[in-house]
Amino acid sequence: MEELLEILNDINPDVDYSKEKNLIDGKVYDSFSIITLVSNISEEFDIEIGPEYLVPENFNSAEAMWKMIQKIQEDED
Amino acid sequence: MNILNFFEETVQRFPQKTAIAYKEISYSFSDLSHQAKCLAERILQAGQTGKPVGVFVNRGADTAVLFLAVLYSGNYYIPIDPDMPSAKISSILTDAEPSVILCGEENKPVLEEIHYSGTIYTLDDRSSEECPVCESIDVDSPAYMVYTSGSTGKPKGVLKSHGAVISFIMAYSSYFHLGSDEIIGNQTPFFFDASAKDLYLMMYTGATLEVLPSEMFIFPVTLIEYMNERKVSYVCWVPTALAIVTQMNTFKKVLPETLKKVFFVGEVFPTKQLHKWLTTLPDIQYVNLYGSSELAGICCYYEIPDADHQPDILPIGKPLPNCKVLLLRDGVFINPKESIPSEGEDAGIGEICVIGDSLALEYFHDPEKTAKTFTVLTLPDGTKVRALMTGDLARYDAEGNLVFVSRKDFQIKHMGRRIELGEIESVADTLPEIQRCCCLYNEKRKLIHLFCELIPGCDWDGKAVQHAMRGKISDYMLPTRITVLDAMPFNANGKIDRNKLKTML
Repeated sequence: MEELLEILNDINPDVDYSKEKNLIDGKVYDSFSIITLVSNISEEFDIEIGPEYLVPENFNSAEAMWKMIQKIQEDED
Repeated sequence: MNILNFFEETVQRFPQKTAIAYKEISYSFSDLSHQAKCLAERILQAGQTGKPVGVFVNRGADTAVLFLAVLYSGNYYIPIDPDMPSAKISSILTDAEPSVILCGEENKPVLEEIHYSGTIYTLDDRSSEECPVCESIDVDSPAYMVYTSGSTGKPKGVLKSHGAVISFIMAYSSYFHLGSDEIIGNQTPFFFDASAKDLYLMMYTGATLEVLPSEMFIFPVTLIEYMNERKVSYVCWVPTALAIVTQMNTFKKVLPETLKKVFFVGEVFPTKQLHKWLTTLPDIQYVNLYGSSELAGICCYYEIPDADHQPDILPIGKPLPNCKVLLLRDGVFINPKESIPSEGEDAGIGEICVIGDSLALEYFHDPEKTAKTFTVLTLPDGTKVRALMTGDLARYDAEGNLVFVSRKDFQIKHMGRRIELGEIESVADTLPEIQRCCCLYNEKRKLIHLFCELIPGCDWDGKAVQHAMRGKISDYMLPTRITVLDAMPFNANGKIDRNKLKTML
């Protein structure tokens, strides 16, 4: 979770990621931030985020992203 | 002849066909015309014609009614992005002084905040009666005015005529065989000039315009599914939007089923992402378009043959049949058939000038800038013509295609030679390791400075990039300093933020 928060802070440090649950629907992130985010997460956690995971629900909060990362890691094992 | 003449004809031909749709809302051609005429009647009651009317553009189908209402009333519209800072909206309104504004209920607080004192109408204010068809609009009457961000920071208005729009749309639709069967997938917001192509194509040909929900561009799987559902056959997007689709590996999950034509305009398409489109969907027609805010639509096109023949640097191609495009250098036109200079030599580079009926009328209230940009040129055969000096530099390739080199403003003098920063960028961009790059010149220290973002996983430093570029470019053009960035900074328009990079020189 530490590494994820670091990636998120790089993209936008003005967000309280422990509280924010509306990153996509609340338009905090745009498509550019998502591309950077997806590529940085893939690299940091050495996973491939397939298109089936690229839905708003998986990116609306830090917690949702963390769950997604864990799910992909389990599936890859 | 004016835009409404051809729109009326389209309405007669396809009264019940869908003109524009956004999610669950849609207008048939006869609805669109009827509602626009009723709102125009209300504008006419405010007693003005031939004047600017501000239109707040919210994503959706209603904007088409508002634009057309302004045209039916004999006035011209100014599209305004409601999400702009209120100071910028205020500066546009101070410059254009529209006495009427059309908007949605949700835009009224901004107008109150900036103390707008004119008349405000929403779609609900339309009269129950249609306005009479205005007879006085001709080809030279202004149709709309777009504000572009000037280099000085003060937005400047460019005024375009009915005749310019007609000249462009007739040439464009006939050349590319775009007709009433087409279903247009609109990406560019209606406050961007690029969207005028989509709107007028719908009005002229009777094609259906599907306004794609902007939130779908964040996660493009839903976008492609939506486009399949709506049977979108043609798109003209900015390359960034097309690149998002492939960067997100969307095609592993879903493929466009009805899409036949992919056109793009406004910036350079990143080579790798275009290649993914070409290899995944080889049967689609791909066309690179080139235009300028100072003319209606576009003036050049280049059709990409196929993935195996994708050029490293995409040409902007040849002129559309409604205009002449020439290269001017030190007062002399460059002949496309003369020897093609090898890379790095600047002898074949000239400024792009455009001649034809699609040129804009003027910069609003700025005769000085108008005279500088729209000049009179004497052609080799002695005829004098009005020409647009684009400020873009290009050269010809062996096939006679125009190849964009850079903005005139990005041309520098370095060690006594003329160098186009854009040319250095395009060479750097051919390296597979480079995701995106931007080249600036440090005037003070006389250094060519390249900023680049690398592909994920690449551990190159500046030296490695420099090493890879050596031999691909003349030595005097090789960047002296190269900074590798974690991420390239972007401005609000989604373009690389050069001002931010300048602070890092």
